[in-house]
Amino acid sequence: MERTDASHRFEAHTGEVRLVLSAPDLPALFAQAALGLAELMTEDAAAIPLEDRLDLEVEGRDAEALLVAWLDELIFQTDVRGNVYPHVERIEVEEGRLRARVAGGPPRAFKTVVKAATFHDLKLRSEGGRLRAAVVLDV
Amino acid sequence: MHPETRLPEPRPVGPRIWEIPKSFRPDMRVPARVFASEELLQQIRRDRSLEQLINVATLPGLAAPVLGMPDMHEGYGFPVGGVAATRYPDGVISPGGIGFDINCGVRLLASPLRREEVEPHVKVLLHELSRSVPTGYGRSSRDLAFSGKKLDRLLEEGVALLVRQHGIGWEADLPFIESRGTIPGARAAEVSDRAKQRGGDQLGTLGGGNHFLEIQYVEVIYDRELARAFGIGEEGQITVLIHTGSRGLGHQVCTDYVRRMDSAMHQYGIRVPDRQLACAPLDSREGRAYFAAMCAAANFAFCNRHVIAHRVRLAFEHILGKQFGDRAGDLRTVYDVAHNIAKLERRGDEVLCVHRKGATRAFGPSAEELPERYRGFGQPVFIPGSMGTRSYVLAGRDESRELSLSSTCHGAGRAMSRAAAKKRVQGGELRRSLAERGILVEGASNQELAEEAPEAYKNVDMVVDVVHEAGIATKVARLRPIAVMKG
Repeated sequence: MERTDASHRFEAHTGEVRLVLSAPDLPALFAQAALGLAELMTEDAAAIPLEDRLDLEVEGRDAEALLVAWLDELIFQTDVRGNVYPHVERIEVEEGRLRARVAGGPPRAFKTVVKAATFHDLKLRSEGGRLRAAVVLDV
Repeated sequence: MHPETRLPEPRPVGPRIWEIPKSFRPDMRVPARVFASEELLQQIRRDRSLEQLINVATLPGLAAPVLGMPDMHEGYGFPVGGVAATRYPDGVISPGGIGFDINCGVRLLASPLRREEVEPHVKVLLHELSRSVPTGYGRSSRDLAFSGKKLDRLLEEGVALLVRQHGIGWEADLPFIESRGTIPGARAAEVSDRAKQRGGDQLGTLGGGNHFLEIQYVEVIYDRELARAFGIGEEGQITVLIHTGSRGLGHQVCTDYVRRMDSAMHQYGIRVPDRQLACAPLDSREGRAYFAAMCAAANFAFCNRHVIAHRVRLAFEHILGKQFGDRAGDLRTVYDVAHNIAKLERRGDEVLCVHRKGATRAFGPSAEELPERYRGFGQPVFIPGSMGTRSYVLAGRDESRELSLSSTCHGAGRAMSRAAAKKRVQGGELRRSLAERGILVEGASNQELAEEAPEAYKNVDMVVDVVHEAGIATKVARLRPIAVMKG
């Protein structure tokens, strides 16, 4: 993925964590979500060796459901492979379907156990020509 | 916030019971009731849990007011500490009403050893426990990995299979596990391959977050007759509390079915104010499949706590056996109870699907499902406080059937986000202060410790007093930790 002006931050939520995202378009937003998730899971997302590449595909009945499905897919892969995937090399989003190639590897240490992405308070909307999203993660 | 939700003003309708009437919001189908003291109610009102409880009151097929326990706090969709009963079979079932960690729960073991016998060895005992019970992210239990047909049998047959086929734990444990550790209706075929892949090698692991294993002693006994019945007869007796759930398997079951119901519910004309409340009728294809998968995940959680209990016994035998002989590993299961589950329970002629999310079943002395030893006394209920503080043993009362759908609280309940706790509390200082109070901690970084600091939780004494005073459950004993293994 080319560099974009996408960003993310975390907001406190009683017992959980809210990931807040901003990006110019859906592919950049989903790539930023992967990076945000990796930073929540580990201290050293930027230092993770990109040695494991995966082709992933998820579906959702709308863009919000697609964001939840995407994060859930990454959480699943981390749980079964023990790797974290901060880097999106290729991503296509069209009509409720996302295809991506992600790269990642084993972190030095895990920081936060993320169980799932939730539909609670889920938001994804266009504001001032940018996409903004918020998703609550169960940790 | 729902457009029609103002800040609700619950009115008192009984001792320690507050109600938001059905008329509060047009889409409510039943009233919402909260068990709380005035102080706890003020704390509850600081987050959005009341609004979430009102949202739950809109679900189709509710058979009784929805309930908030005194430890209620904001969750996702359903509040944590929420209880809702829908009519079987036409009411709905909502995976969000059970939560991601299906059958997160607690098992209490009672040792014949006393505090002064164990305390000199507690450091080496805690170390042995940390070697035998994996903790933290994705930590697997590869020596006990289940897959394929072997895992399917475990999901359907539950703890009895571990005891009878694998020699793990005791036959005598079975009556003292909710539903004997095997919930009828579990179907492994409704659990996705992904869920099986995620959890199959996690049996006997604690996981992360607020999960823990504590070595404790009985500090105070409030009701000697009930305590004797539960086998925790005297002050100073050693107990072990295990708090964990269904690990990645349960999380994936919830993930799979929230998504499936989010897609399917419009077919049934169901609209919910929060998508995390996605649900389907109990007798629909999706409802039946989720119920069967949820029961299978619950069985996996019972098995998880059972394997950990087995390893605790082995660790006690290994470290203390030379000195105390057979007494060392003789840790009896007092009870094993779920905090996140939906169960089919009879009320008169009706069958209800009681969703408990962060709430505990609290059957009274006359309940038929109790093991013989506890008939006439009530079901043991365990309320862990925050890490390093204290936990309570309670006994369910018959009055809870009418008052609270046979339910009570499950813990102290978070009062502060993890991030806020980390800002307010220095993990290193907390570790030192716990050590000064004679409490050893293992398995947590200072940062993780800060997230679970006592200040981040409601006061467990106040929470327990509410359910005692409301007549839902009776205080039996208070337990104090001497060693904590944090997940």
